[in-house]
Amino acid sequence: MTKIAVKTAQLSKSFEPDQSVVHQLDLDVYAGEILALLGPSGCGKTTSLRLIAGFERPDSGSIAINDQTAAGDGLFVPPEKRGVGMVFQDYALFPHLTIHENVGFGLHNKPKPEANEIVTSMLELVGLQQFASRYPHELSGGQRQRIALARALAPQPFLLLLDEPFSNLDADLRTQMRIEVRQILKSINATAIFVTHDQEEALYLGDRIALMNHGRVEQIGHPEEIFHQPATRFVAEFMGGTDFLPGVVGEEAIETEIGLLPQKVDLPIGTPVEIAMRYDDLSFELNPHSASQVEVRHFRGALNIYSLRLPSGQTVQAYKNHTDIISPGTPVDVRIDPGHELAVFYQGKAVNRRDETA
Amino acid sequence: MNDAHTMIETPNRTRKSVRWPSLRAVVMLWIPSILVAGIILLPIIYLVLRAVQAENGLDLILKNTTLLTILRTILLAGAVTLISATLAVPLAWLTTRTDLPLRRLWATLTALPIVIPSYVGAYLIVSTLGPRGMLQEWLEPLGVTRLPAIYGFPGALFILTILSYPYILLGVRAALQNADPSQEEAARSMGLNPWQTFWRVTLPGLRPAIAAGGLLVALYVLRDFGAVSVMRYNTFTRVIYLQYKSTFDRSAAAILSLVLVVLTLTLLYFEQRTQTKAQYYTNAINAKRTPKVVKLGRWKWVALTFVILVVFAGVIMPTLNLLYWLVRGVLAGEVIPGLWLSTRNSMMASGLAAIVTLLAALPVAIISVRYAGRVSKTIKSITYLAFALPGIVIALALVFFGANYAQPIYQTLPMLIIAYLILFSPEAVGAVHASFLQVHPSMEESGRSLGHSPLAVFRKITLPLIRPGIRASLALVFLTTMKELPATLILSPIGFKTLSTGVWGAVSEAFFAQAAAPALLIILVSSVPMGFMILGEKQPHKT
Repeated sequence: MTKIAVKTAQLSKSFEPDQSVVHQLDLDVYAGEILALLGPSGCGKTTSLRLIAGFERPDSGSIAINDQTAAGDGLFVPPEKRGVGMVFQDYALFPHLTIHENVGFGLHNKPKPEANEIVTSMLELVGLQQFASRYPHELSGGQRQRIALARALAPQPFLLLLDEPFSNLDADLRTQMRIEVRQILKSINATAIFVTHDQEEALYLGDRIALMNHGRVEQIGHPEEIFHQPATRFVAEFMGGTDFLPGVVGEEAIETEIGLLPQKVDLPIGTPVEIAMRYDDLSFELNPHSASQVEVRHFRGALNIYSLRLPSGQTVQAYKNHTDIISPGTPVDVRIDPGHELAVFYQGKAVNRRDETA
Repeated sequence: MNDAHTMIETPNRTRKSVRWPSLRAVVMLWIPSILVAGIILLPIIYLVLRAVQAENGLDLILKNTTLLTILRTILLAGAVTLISATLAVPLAWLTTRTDLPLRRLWATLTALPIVIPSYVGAYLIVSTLGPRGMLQEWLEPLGVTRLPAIYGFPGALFILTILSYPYILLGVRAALQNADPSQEEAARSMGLNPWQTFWRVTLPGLRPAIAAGGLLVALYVLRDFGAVSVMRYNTFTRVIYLQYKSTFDRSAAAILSLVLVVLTLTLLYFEQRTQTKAQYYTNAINAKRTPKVVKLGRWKWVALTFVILVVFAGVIMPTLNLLYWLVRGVLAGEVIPGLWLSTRNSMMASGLAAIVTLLAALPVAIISVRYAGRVSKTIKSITYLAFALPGIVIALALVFFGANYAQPIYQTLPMLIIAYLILFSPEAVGAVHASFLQVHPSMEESGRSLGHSPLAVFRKITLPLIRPGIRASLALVFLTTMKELPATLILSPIGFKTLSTGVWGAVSEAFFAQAAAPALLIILVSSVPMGFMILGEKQPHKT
């Protein structure tokens, strides 16, 4: 069993009465893991991070970092005494200090020579040793990002927090930086929590993902789990590219307007459910007599993704190779063709029989 | 999609606003801020109470002499504003849009009179054109022993116009330079000639800038004490001063002060409104091209004569006159005595004022940024009260308050410093507040998460980052205190002579040569902040 590095219990915070931003949050972060706090804006992920960092006081609940209470039971440890490093969204590099001084800022309790040594090794870690005597404004966005990381890591924090670390970078650099940051964090076996609203980023960078909504965790798990076995309709929707096809629970399968889905759920026959599908879970063929038809074609390079309108008016996505071009208005037959179990929701919650299908 | 998310995400930080301050913040920020607000408010509240409690208050306001004072003040303010606008608009146009020879030189010179404090300007006029003035001394050999009197309305009008028209000029010039030339081009393409275009397109576009500048000029006249006093024209400020000096019934002075404050507040209200409008206008039209230069042709010489006349009255004559009296004074050995002492006094008072005002401004600026909310906003507005209060009113309020409740510091240096604090806290709070806004809270949080205590973070991060604002605050308060007159005159400890009271005293007794050296020093000192203001105004339109 891996050690729990951070534990929050029943953590709540509200800024205006009756509007809790974080609501009874229970979260365990294991030592050495990177946890992604993912969610739409306003879901409470940044506030959760700031609570752990000590920039906000919780209204109730507790936070323990390295088995020591950081907040709760009338106790509140100020941020400077928590041993938590933080990388800010805007990097918050000090413009009046050089890169060396910035990275060394948290090493004020160490003797000078030792501090200098650490700064040098940190700059080496992020590959920017030649910039030591420059000032932050002389650096590019990606370089500032790495300095912010080096500065947060220099005091060897027990825990590293990253608040939307890549949101100020443009798309190309963002992809490159998340590879680099993951490598750096893994190379020193850091425990880290990072906040993002970008599901792709969370999938790539997180060892586990906690998906938040309205101040609560909707689901926490490994990226594959979150992506393929969403616990709620919200999770499926947020992870993207999902259509929800209405169906009705039948004897041996779920009945939909485009055929049967051979999955069993523990619900009475006749219960209306929703099936989450991505574009690779459906296939279609030309059929002049079909009541379904192609609505729009989206060219995606190697693929063409088609928006298909079913007789009920519902639209679903399906793909074909880029060599097949079908014009809008063409009648087609649509079939469910997943090759794996699809998530089924009743009243927004997944009702799949996990243990039997696993 | 990601960008959209980021944009929604940023207001996150404003949540901090509802945070409750820690005990430390209460002790180090809130209590000092409330103290500062109290110091500023108390004398003013006292003045109001004093005026309200006066038995014959209403009678006094309705007395003929009071109504006359109101009338005179409004008349002077109106006339100065009108003539200033008439001077400033053509000057602005000539120095921005035409092929006037030496255009840039005139552009600088026409803005210069703004650096002359009004009592110094009045001194320079009186010592040129008044009895025993320069002109009379030159004309005496020719048998001229009396010049037409310059005192009263004409003198006040003349000097205040010369000193304050730059307020309109600078605004109009900026508006002209930022205006979108395509509007004028559109008018031309629809068949208007240049003259018609100016009247029907350019001028209407300048209206907000003229209005904003005009209100500044009117406020300048309302608050002015020096020029009207030297010119012996009985507007509010002078009447209040005379009341205070001559009678023991100080309620009268208090009531008159309140009436003046009401007048000022009314103007200030309109000024605020037009200011935003003027900004809207200049911001709305983002000029990409510079407008075509208008060829003046044979009008060039008329225009040049006009500009030279204005520059002569506002810059050349005062300078020549100042030099004349300076040389005469030096030759007569009248300059040095007292100059060193009054310079030292001025520097000391100004230095203390700068430091005290900064220390008062710091906590106010910090809470107004870090604990934005109704209370901190109110405290900040209180520190801006002096904008609505003419110096003479603040000085009187302190005299009344001090004589009754603060006897130990009445007529001492600390009392004078408090007056300066009230007078100049808008400048200090403004400067510090602006620089503090630049320090993002994440900077400080970052310092905290790197293991530094709040105080260490303030010392190592916040302070270095707001240093420009601190410097600006110190400089502004120091330099404006150097030239301040009414409060210094009324509240200085007995025998405490400064540069400004030195000029005042010498001019009152027509010792013009004695006034020359301190006047020159004051002009030099006040050139610095005004220079910044002029340069600042010019920045947006580099061509």
